[in-house]
Amino acid sequence: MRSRPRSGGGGDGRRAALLPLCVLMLVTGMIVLSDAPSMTRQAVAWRKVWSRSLDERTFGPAGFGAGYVLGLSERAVAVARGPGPIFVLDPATGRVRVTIQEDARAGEADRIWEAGGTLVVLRKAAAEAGLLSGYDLVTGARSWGPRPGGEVVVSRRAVMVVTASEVTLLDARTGAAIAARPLERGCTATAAAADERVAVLDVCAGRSVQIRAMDPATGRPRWSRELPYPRAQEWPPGDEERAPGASVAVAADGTVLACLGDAVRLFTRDGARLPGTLDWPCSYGQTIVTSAGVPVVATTRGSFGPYELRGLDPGTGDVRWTGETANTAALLAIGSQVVRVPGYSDSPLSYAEPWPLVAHLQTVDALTGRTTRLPLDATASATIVEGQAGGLVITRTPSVDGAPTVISAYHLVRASRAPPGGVPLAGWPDACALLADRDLRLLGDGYLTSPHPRPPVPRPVSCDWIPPADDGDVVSVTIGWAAASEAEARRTAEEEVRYGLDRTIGTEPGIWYREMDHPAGTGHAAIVSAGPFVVTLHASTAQAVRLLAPRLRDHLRAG
Amino acid sequence: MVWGSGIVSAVLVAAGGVVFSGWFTSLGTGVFDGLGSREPLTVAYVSIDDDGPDLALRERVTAPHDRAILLGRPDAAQEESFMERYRAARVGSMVVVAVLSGNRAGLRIADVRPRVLKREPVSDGALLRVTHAGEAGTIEVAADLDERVPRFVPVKGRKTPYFQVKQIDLVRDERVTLAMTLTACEAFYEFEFVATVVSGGRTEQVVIRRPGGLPFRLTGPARKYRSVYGENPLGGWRPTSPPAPAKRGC
Repeated sequence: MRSRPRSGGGGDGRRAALLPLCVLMLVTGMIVLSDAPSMTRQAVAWRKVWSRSLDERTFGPAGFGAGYVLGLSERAVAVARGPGPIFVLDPATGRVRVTIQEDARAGEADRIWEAGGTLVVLRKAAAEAGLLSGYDLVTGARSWGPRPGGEVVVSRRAVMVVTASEVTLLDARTGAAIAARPLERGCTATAAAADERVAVLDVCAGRSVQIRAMDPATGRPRWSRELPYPRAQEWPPGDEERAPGASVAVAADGTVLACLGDAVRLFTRDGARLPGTLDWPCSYGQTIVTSAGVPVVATTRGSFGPYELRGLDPGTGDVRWTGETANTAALLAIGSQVVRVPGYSDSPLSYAEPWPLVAHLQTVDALTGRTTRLPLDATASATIVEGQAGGLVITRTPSVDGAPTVISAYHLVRASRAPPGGVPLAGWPDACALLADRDLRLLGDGYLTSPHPRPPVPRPVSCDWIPPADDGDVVSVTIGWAAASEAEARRTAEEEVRYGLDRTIGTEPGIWYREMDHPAGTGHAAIVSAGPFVVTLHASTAQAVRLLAPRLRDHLRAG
Repeated sequence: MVWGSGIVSAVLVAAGGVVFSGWFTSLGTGVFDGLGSREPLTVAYVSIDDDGPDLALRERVTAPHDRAILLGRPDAAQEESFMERYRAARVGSMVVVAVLSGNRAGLRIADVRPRVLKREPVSDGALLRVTHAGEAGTIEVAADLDERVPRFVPVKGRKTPYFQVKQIDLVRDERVTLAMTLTACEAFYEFEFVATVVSGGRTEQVVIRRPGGLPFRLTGPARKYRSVYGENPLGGWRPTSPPAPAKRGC
């Protein structure tokens, strides 16, 4: 159960972190659709290339809570669930190429990678480190393993396994060790890999920190640097003996980012320290991608500052541009664009309502920092972005009882101008006009209308009706999406009904009555689909929702 | 302890009362400008515990426009201004986290203490009861604003003020994170923090406040509130029953 941020004596806006995102998603998404410069090729749309529906029966019985595991590469989209088979799909078409069938006793797939034509699978096992095996991508036959796992990273043709006692580099095709190095007592290591580089960060508690980069084909060291050991500086003092938080990331071009305690350091592929002023702290899962030669990171501005994307000068490490982002979630490099993978905190955006209903992906031009947010043909509630395979963004629907899991691949369309979109912004209705005074009088007299504009939509997207007494019914209406057609609006509403957090307690034509559980009580809502619009209605009581939803639908139909 | 999205900006007030311009808000897009590098300390960030206790307002909310903000779903700016106008204060206790960064080759933070700016009767206009989804964090050091001279002391163990036995040394660009817990029972307080910094034989004071030079606020619990609201699942607040009369922790 999540808790919502709260405002307080500090004046921190309760929805401060959510609103900018909501607004931006619409602002830029819409502006781009209507206002693309015509001279250069811009990211203008996401086009679905393929979709594959995987029925739960396909995977056989899975334990309670068994999640889907995807392994993505240029050559394969591998999908597993529980101890069942692993399906290897062609990234270009979504067709199943080969199925890897293992004895159920082998354990559940935990992580999957592809390296050098071998599918590398880490399975859960009694030993915490798990068991690692390699499978031929063409035949599906096991080519090596199982062997003890650990922290695993893969490069183009090699697999690095880090355990508490050693760092081992394996040939991905044969599983044979290329190189191995024991770890000293009191030291831990963490690793990252890109196609042609592997980096390992060794932290020896209280003593030293060293970063080493090596050629994954041979295991030969390329460069290494000693980093200053960070002093513990916290108040009240915590466990000062504890090793500082450390992580490492490698971009495809070999640029290395090392995170240590409160400091970030960047190194070129040849080990030169990028001297640019890096006033940003490490964050968990800090990643770096290089697109069009520009390293791009997502970070916070200081320990508690707002998140931002930064494009760095590859020669100096200086910040070339900054862009807004909602979190430090993973980034994907696709052509000269960087795509931000929405994280858990993005969707749904709040208990009250995900807005807009339709999923948007943020893409940033790595050279200019120009950000666009473009819609997918799916609701945010139905979209989990898994990563990229062969230049396509791969999404998955969440696991929902009775519904198959759908894997989809999207291509980023770049063109000189945007394709025609749905309803233009000027065509969005005024949310406050969707219920009339006589509708509100069903609940009582004296309602105060309180509009909530969200620029650049010219009319209020959201509207509250406040009763004269505090314990009366508060009513709220939000236009969730304006689709290209009535059919598309209906499909969007149905998707929200299936994958949204609320549960449906009744329906009538164009209306789904919904209920949601919250630590503070039950919320009452309806999703209304009429014409090209999908609108949500909330009220303090289920009765008020029942009274007003049909009227809201009729007003929408009457246009 | 959850440090969620409740990010507020920091403003640095020099000893002489000059307010620096280099601050930013959670909604801001400005580039970090390093603040005034001539000052001994940069107050990089101030964050207030998100998952904190209930809020109390000075007055009842009766104006139509304010009721729409309280009961409806305002945007962050509307709500922030509303909370400011009603001088919303945490009830009982709060945690303030500040990140300080040294601007001298070497300096010592000799003391940090809260300074009460205003003391008034406890707030009883409206209680906003926050639904808790998690557990409260462990408080390690705290200052009681009800004391005549509030100072930070370890909650467990000795009552010796923290800074009598330990100071914080920083070299240039080194950072220290201060997690400061404040408690109050008897009154409503507006306060700030004063850090005493020693560098190169000189002693300077750095004041830590909220954005725009606004003070922090904390109130003791009232015996009875004129109105009580709980969280509304669909956003905003709705009337609810008052809490049990026991003064928690007081």
